[in-house]
Amino acid sequence: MMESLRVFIVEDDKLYGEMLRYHLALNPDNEVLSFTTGKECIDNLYKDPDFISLDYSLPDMSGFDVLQKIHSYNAKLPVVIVSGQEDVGTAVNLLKEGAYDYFVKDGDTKNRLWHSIQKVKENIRLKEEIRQLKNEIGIKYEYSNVIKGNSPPIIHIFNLIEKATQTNIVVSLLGETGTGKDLVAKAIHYNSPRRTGPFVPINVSAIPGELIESEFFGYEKGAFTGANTRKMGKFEQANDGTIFLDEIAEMDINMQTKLLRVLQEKELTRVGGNTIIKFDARVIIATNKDLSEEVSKGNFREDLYYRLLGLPIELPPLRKRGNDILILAKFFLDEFCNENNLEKKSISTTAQDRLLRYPYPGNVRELKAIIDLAAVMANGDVIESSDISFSRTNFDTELLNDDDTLDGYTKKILHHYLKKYDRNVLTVARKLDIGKSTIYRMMKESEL
Amino acid sequence: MQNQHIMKGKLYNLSQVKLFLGGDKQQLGNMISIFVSETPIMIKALNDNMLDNNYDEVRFYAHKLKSSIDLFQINGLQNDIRVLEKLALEKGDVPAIQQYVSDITVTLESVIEEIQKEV
Repeated sequence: MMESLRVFIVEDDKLYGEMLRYHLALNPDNEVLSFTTGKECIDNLYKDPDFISLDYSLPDMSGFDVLQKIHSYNAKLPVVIVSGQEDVGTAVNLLKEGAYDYFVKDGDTKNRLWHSIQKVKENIRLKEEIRQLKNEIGIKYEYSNVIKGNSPPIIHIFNLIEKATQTNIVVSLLGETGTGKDLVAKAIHYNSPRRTGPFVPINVSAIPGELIESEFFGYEKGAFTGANTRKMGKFEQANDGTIFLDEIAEMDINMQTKLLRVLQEKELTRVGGNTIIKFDARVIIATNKDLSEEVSKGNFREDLYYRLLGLPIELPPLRKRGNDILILAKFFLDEFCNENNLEKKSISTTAQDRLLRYPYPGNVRELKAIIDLAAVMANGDVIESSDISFSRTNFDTELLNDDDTLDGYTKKILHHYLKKYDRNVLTVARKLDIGKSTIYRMMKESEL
Repeated sequence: MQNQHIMKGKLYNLSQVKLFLGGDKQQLGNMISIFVSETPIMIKALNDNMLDNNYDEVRFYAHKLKSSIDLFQINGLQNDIRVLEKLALEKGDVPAIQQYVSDITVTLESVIEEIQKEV
């Protein structure tokens, strides 16, 4: 809940000032303090008002001078100028100087002031809400909440993330698809001093080539057909925050040249514009390709490669994270059950063994999909081995991942084909290029 | 000018200020008390500056008196005070300025007297 709003009324006409004070104090949430000179107002700024109603025509200073002094104390303080002058030029100058609004004294002034204060209150409430949400996001993206696990490769990643948060160095996140590069990028941003600034992610491969420049750097009105208004680009949006360029290896070579210049100069020009705009954004990039190899192939500029390399963080594939697989599986299972109002489930030992043996070409993303499906398939509160389905395209890898005898592998292959072709022995024999009597014999021996 | 208005009965109208205060009699008394104590100070400043030919200050005080005159709906002065402000800004027609200051002074002094009696 919001605390009371401290309002200053600066008005040398005591009658008019009293009228405003009385009206604004009708709301008990407003703490209204009245002053009759500019100096008195300035001397009391230490009381941190939330809103000032300032008469333009004061005996000791002009409203313009008082406004400047107020804003040199706190540039964001909303100051409404109340004046008996209906002079548009004065109003425009005051608004340019940063006045929140300009009202001519008439019967409706008190109501307009009331509405202005309501708007200021709403802004304060929204800012507070944003601050709280940012805090919540910060907690959400604490390393330990983002990356589950305690295997040595992941502990090493924690250390690197911590180093990344302490400076503005460019971070290049490398690793197979599904290893969590986007989450690590967010963790770096939300644990860095830039956490209160924006985090702006862009998937480079998702933007058509002809639009990428305007997406990155914005455009001016009329820059091209359909540019009906000026638009800010992602780099400008990321000012004081972090820009995350995902799948950077997919960037067109011409765009790479423009990006290099922008990163070197820390300034950009909107498409169709001439104004140079400075920006201050931390850059994090990610790719699942080997960028140095892309440089060798001529697909990626070498100078940009070195510019972006910064602190490389190579995220390990899940198959190299040992027991983290089970920690993650448990986490995803709890999360899925919670989100879907299912009773809490556990994972049987045989199912755990099976999960540990699989190579996860889709990494953490694939594990999550497997666990979600297993939670749906399980009949009770325990996930059994039979509830776990790996994708068919990975069958061979799964098969070879088991340490088995040749006889064991043969049985598994036969089982797979019989299942695949609805126990049609003739088809299976043809597919495996063996006689159907051999199939029957093997079925008998294996009790299939 | 407003000399004619002086002769036409009540010089002011408290309905707007009463409406604004929503029946808060204590606050009405407070507002009248401020008007009664502050207006003579501004009238004096207006007259002193006119005698000193300091028309910027004449304009300043005319400007300041405007909101009180509007709030108390002082009969005839709502336009005159604006004319005086404009004349003082232009600094051209001194006899007219003097006449307006004099008339406004007389009316406001009468208003103060009347309003004190009413309260």
